[in-house]
Amino acid sequence: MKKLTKYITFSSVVLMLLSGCEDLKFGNDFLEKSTSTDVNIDEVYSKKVYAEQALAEVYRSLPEGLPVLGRLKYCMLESITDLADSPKSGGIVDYFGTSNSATGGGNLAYRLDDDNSGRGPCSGIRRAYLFIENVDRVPDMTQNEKDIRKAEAKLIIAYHNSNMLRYYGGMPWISRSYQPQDNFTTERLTVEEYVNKIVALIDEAAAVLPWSVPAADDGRMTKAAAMALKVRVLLFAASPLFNDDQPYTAGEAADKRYVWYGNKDQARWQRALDAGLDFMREKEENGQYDLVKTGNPRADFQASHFNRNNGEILISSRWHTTYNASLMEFKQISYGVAVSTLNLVDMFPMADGTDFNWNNPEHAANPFFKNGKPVRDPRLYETCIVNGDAYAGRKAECYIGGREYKKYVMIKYTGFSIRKFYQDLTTNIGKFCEWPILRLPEIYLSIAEAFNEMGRSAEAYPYINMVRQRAGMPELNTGLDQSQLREAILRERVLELAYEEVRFFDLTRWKRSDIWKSTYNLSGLEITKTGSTFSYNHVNVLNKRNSALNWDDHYFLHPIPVTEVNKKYGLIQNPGW
Amino acid sequence: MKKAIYILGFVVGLTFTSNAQKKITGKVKDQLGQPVAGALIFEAGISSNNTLSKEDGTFTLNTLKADVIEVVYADAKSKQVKIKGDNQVEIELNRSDEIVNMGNARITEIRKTQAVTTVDADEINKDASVAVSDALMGVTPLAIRGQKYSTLIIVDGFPRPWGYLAKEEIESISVLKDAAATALWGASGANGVIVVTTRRGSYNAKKITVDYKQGIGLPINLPQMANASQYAKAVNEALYYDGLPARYSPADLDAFASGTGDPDLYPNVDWMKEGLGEHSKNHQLNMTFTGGGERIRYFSVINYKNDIGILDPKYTEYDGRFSTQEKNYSLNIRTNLDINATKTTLVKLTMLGMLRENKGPNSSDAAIYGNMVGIPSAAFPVFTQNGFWGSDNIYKTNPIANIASVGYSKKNMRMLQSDMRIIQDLSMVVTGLSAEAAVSYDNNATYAESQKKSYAYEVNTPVIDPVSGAVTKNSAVFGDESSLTYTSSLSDQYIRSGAEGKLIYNRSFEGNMLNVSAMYKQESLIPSGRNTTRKKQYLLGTVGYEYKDRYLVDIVVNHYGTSVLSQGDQFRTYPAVSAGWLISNEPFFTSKVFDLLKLRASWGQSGLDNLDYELDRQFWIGGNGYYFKDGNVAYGGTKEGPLAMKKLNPETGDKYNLGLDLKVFNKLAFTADVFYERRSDILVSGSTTVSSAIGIPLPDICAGVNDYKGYELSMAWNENTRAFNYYVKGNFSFVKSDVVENYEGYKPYDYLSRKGKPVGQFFGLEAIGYFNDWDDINNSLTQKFSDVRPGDIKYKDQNNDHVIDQYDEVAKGYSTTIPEIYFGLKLGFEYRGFGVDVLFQGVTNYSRVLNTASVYWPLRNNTNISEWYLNGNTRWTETTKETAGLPRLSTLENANNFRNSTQWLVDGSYVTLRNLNVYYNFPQSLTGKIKLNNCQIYARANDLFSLDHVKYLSPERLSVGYPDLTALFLGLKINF
Repeated sequence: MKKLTKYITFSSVVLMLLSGCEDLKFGNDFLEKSTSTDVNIDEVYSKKVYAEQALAEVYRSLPEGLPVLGRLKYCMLESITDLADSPKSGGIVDYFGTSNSATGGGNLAYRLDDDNSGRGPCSGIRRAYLFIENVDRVPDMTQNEKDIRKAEAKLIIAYHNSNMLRYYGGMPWISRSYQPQDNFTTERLTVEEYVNKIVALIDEAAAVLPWSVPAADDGRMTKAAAMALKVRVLLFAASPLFNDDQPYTAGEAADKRYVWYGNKDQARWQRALDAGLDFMREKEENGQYDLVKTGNPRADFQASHFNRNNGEILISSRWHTTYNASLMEFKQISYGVAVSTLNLVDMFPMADGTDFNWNNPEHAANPFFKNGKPVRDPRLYETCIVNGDAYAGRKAECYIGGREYKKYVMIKYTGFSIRKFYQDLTTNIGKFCEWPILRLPEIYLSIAEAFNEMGRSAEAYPYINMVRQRAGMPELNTGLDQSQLREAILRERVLELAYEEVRFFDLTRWKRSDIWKSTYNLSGLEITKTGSTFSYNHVNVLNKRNSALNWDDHYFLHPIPVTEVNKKYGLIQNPGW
Repeated sequence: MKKAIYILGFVVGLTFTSNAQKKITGKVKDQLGQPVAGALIFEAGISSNNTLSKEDGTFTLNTLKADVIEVVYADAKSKQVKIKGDNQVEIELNRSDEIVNMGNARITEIRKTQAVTTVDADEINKDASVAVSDALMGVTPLAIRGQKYSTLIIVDGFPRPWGYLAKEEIESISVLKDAAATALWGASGANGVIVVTTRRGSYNAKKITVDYKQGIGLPINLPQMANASQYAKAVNEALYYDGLPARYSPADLDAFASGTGDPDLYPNVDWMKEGLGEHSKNHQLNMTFTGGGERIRYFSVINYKNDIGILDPKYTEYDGRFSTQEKNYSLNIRTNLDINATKTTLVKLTMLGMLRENKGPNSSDAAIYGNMVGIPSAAFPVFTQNGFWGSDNIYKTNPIANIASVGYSKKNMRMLQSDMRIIQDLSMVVTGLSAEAAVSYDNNATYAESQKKSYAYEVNTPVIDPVSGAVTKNSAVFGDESSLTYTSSLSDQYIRSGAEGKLIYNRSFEGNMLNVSAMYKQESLIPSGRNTTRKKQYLLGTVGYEYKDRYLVDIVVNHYGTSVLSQGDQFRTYPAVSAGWLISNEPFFTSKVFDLLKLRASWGQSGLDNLDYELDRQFWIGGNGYYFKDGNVAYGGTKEGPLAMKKLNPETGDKYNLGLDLKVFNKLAFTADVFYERRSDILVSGSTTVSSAIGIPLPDICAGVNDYKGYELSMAWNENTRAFNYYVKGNFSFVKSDVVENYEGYKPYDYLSRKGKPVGQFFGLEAIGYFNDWDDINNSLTQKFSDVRPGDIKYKDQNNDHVIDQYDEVAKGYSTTIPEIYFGLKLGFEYRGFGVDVLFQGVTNYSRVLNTASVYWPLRNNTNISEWYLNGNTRWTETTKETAGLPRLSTLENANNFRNSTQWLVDGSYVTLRNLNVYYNFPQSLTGKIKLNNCQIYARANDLFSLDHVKYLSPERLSVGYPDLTALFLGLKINF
């Protein structure tokens, strides 16, 4: 009996041990974790479809200009220029302000060390190099396909470098995908070296890329994109920020020519001009691109930046499939992150091309509409929400007590708000969207600018007028001197390209500290409705930007994050920071 | 497994020649000299050769070679006794020479060479607190030797949570500290191990205990917030100093002050008073059944607890359909059985089943308690005049409605903890050999259900007629009173299982004793979700040797494998050696004063494998995708995941310990330990030196090094007589940590380095006063945090660069995470059945930062203000410039004032009366008549008072949530 008990006990224990459940294993098998379904780099580059997905993620590194991922506290780049402001609480009062942005830096538009928010260039560059380094292993792609895709990746690398150039000046050249243990001690390149490297990479990509792509591939990099980017880079490089007798601010980085050329040379304008004319020549030969021009200026202008595959967007970024008012990027706008200032609105001329002037009683009485007809440059109505314009199936009520006024903080603030990219937040829901990074009009205006700087202003006018013509505006008055024409071009760039991240760089490359300082006191409009007439009262915006009050020219370039400088691999901080 | 076979061979190879039979007679007595019946006596290592003591405590045992006998008595306690000279032995059972359970090994207190602190049931049950972990209060810091997290908890031999156990289920809790003890737990043990042993049955006895207690919890440490009038004035003051227009007009202020205004516009709500009841309530009923015979012993517990929360019933019963009072119920049923299946086979079954229900409003603590503190009295009324819940456009919530009108949520937890252990005496094969096998299986499932609804609230804003100045109100109602929606889900689920097999060889001869064991053990924790499963397995060998009753050596080798490490590299070996010298047993040591004098020393290693899975591999993961084409075609994206770590290592603690155990006059026990530990392979950020140009976040590296050194002292004085006994116990521990390597990268100034400082060291600016006026600001250095105005904090320039920025942050005070010094004092006496136990506990060399929003950091970003800021201290105003101790009020973010600085740094030291226990045992003459062995009434209290430097909240908890409570209990305990 005893033996039996013992036997039963032991065998029941053994049974428990062995049959308990499938996870009961012994020996080395026990520690194995469940099989993984994750893929590694070899699997990604074993099939075309995966490799294309990796490239899609390279494209994804192209930044979105709408308010995303905490950049500028969810504002737009325009919100820190004279064109717009942000009354949202916690908005942009301290941009470049009293807080030491080099160490704090939460408010900066651009950060070298920011890999996740789309503000930084490095993760895009890395992904692009990983693609270039590995795509040759893919068996089911032709060499031609691989070459073109690699060139696309190269152009994205060049694009990120062009942004680093515009925010920082000359930076170290990242030439491959690094591993943590790799020694990365490259010093910054001089502006000259850096510009040449970027241009060389653009040329390399342009040599392979097709001039245009079929509609099914819309959004991919093309030769036209490459040549246009080259114009942008060379125009920026030729501008006085880098191309002058004096550095904008003295310092070690200036001494080492990281933040300017070290002299002034007209040849740099010529180089920009040549790049522009090369682009025009190629366009002449291959066609495919032109301004949207159906004869309805306002609709054409809307299509120019709001529609995909419209023949004039050369580089775009596409984070979203469709325009969706519930996405953060679109919602933010109703919190007031990019309210148009009166400064912006006043730049738009009358429809006949004359300047708008509040001192002109006729203008002041009917600044936007007369007898229900628009009186200003049609682009105004597509750029800003203006009182009395068509809005959500009725007229916008931006006056005190009006529906828009009551609904949105933003309209209370200046009497206007952004309309570009947002429309009225209702009508275009579901439309495929994109963010235009580089548009044809910018190239036209850049060519005009280069002609003007080369003293060939007569040749500049046709390029400006191409842009004005599409907008239904009369030709620009001739007979302007060089600096008048320069101002006219900068203004035309605002009218055409407001909210497209052009103004910020125009102000820095032309060292316009006068305009930067003026952003301390921007204006808005208080509109009162009495009966059926409106009266307009100028008001100052509430935000007092510390950066404008304490303006210093070293703000022209961004600080390199101090944590990055402190890693001591050879970065020298921009002057003044 | 090979190792085990070698060890077995070694054991079998040892032969002991003497085989003479010996007859031992003796008597077992308790501490007071009373005979103990039903104690099991057997020759150490040969459990099959046993006998039980009789009614008068006597026993007779025929042994093979009786050097050491083991005595097992009530409730799983046991001790080992040496037989010297004649074969007569008197065994007095007292706590000091019991066997200490270290989970994977057992050792007698007297020959222990490890640093282990043990608390037993008597002490645990005197404590008023409900939580089991509080039983260690005043005995040892729960942050064992400076390690706050990842303490390994072992319950009955397997890793298990201990939070749900009832104190009445516990026999003893041992805290393993040095490597000689923690190496037994390999790569799980480095942060210390807490070994909980549950109670078991006893021989020839039958005992029933019924214990009922009822308690209340009184809220303490509640912050006193400003009333409406104070708040409105404070806001205006803050706006004034911010240079902004006032929010409240003089008429508004009058209306708040007089309290006669329209309550919709000029409310004055003391949210805490409104929402909190007087006290919480709880009941606890505990019944234990202990007993058994020679073949089967049992210990059974039924423990029922309920706890009714502190919310005011007026609101918890507001919605007739449900109650939202916070209620916690739990029912534990435990049965521990010991069965002698055969003469040589002992089967131990351990089972705990648990049902638990937590109920409360369907809101977070922050939505209720956080808002009670954070929403100003002047914001809005509880109810508006129109009968809606009040709220405003800023907060858009109502803390009282969050109790009353959001529905309830409920969590049901069902848990089973079970294990079975078989101990087989193999003396028939090799004398002194035995084998153990055990399996454990625990299962937990928590179901959540909720009935959710939303509420409508009314916002009233004043409208002032610009001509007449008359105030009317503009009302808007938001949200709606929705119907209840029901949801339920499985919120948590896990299975833990374990298995072990063990061979033990235990022999003694001529004052020498050898204990060898070899063990294989595996453990797995399988929660829901892939990649969260944790598995561990190890081979453990221990050798203990005692030479001539004086010289003790213990060796542990643990070959430990853990699933989180890289494939093919999952095993690490943790060795430990410890030695002891029992000086009091030396022939030359003739002092009669010392009952025990022992020196101990140990060195060894243990590890900590709290790593995530697959840190050593890089995977490609789905990206955000992209949208080419003029159409709705998504291109899936693929991108690299986090970079792989180069070499995965568990943290390794290299631990040294020196100890002294002393016993004098049989009354005073004293223990001192000095320790040093170098902790290496700590995960630290790898990004501080590598350029961001790499374009991807850098992986952490196993490269950090910290040092910990310190000492622990404990003293206990016990004096027992039949009528009067008393005790004094003191504990003191000191630990100093030191960051040796943290890969922090380049620091422009040496004082910014965290190296050479304690773990968790406070760093902040040095506040040197306040800006008096604009001239002062203009003549002072620039402070780069936010615009400064008069009344803002002025900081010291530490590096003389004439700019105040984050480079001026210096180390001040102590660590804010681990106190350096921890102490406890326990006092108690019992006289003619009347007894008192008191526990004081405290810490010092500890820093805290007063940064709780509303309570200490007022008004910024629409927060509230407390009396502490308004009346408890002097804030800066234009009239108090000279005496101010706090900066001016501000409604803005004000990053200049509200950041780590010496302004907000406080001494975190405290001494708390943790526990007070007063009881009376009715005399036997009385209880005997009604057939009771014992009857006790008691009153207990927890956290009665605290001496500290923190007003309102406590240095132990500076956050706002469910209030801290002082708990009071009345109870009755009856033994049959």
